[in-house]
Amino acid sequence: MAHMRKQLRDAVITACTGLTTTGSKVFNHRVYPLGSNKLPGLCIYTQDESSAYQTISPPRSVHRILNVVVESYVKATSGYDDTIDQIALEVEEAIVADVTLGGLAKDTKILGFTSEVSGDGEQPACVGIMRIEVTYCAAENDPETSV
Amino acid sequence: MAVETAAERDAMLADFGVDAIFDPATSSHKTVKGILDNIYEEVEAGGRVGIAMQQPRFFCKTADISGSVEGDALEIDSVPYTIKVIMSDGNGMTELVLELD
Repeated sequence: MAHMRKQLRDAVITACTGLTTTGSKVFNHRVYPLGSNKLPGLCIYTQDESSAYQTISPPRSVHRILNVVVESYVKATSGYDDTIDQIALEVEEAIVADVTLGGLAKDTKILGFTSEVSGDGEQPACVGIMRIEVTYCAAENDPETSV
Repeated sequence: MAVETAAERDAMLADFGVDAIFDPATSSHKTVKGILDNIYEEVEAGGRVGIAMQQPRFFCKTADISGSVEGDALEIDSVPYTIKVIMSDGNGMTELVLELD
């Protein structure tokens, strides 16, 4: 078993792997630049988490909200914005198909999306950043198991 | 006033330049000599990581590409590019920002 954050991140990665546009080019917490052979691709991160205690007596139940970021990367001479939106469509559908992420989460919501573009390279590069909120609960003495 | 003379530019291009086929939309193509700077490095596009790719720039004499506009074609070593930005230094040399076709 592993911390719930890892389990949830892995669940998001599994849901987003094999999509039509990005296929197997899905990267977990990547830190190095993406080469052309990794595009179009997804980078998935668990960013931050907030906690609220729901019960009084230890071991207390902890309600947690985990923010996950799914970034899509595209390089093309044209239509890169359309590709970014197509990837967003596929990711949203994949995530919403099971908002419990295999029974691990209470809920999963897509909170927002931004995109940015750069013309510094040999072709325009576009990045879409999707913010996803995952709600789950775990006992404070057992952060490996959702309740 | 330019720092270098026209003769010095010619010498520099003769030593470091490559031939490129400049193909403007409004006239016939011709061969021009210039320096291709095509560094491979990370381009920041807004995500947590960058995208690694070439950054092609071509430096040539402004007179050699007079009348050029964005969208004109340039071929270097059989690699086709489109000119996206034309940046004259005002002293006889121009930097072209290229997009790989």
